[in-house]
Amino acid sequence: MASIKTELSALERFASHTDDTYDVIMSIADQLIFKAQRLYFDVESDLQKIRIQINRAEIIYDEASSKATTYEYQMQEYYAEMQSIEREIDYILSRTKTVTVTDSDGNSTTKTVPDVDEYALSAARRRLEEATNNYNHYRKKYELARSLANDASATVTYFKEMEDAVASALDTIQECMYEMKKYLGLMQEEAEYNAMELNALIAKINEYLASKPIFFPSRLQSEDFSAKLKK
Amino acid sequence: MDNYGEFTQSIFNLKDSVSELRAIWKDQTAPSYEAIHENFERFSFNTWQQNLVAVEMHELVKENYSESEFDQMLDKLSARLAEL
Repeated sequence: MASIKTELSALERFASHTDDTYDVIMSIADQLIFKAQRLYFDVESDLQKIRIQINRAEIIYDEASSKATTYEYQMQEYYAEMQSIEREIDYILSRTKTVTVTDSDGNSTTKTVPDVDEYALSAARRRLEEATNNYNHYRKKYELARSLANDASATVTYFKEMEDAVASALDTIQECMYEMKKYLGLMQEEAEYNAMELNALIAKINEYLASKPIFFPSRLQSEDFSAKLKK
Repeated sequence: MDNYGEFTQSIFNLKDSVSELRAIWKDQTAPSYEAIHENFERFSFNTWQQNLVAVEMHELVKENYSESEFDQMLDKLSARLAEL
């Protein structure tokens, strides 16, 4: 009798202990999922920051490209003006006039000599210098703007690569959370099944014991039964 | 105990019953508990592995991405834009 009661009580202790153990394991699993959620939100926050930074880099790229286009247009304008002035100077320098020269004997000859309008030439050269300075000014600005646009473009590319990597990490963490929740669900099922089986077994043993009058004689407890045996 | 034979029979019955109970315990608990424990161990291990992967992913992001570093890069570009 004592053996059966010991078995039953051991079984009940085992059931209780096992349930406690499963509770602890599932509590830890729950904490791990909670921790993974915190990691997820942290990485998600980084991803949002990167997207804002990409947007900022794209705005810089757009503005730099726009400025490069504007400066390129102005540069081309001044280049065209330079070419125009150079043609004008060529024209000024190419002008000639015919003069008649009389020598000491009184003989007259005609000659073609340069007829440069120095005033116009000087003015044209000043305008050419000014146009050249403007051209160089805008060419420098254009080069700086183009260089900045290239760097901004490279930055956008780099940021987007980082965005992809972080998004991929975020997906993986999400998958991990999904898997962990799945395993937690399976563990809960196992624990419930385990408890159900244990309870059924305990009930079966109790039923078995009840069906055996030798274990629980009517109106007698086992201790009483043992006491009676000693008599 | 009025009848010694009845008592003897009861003792035999008790022994049989204990054996039967132990058989029930062995047959019905041991295999299923082993399976349940194995499953639990496997699920716990897998959960822990998934946790490690999540932690590793988080660490990789933190090692490779620095918000302030990216902001500095953007600030430098903005400064160059302002000079244009």
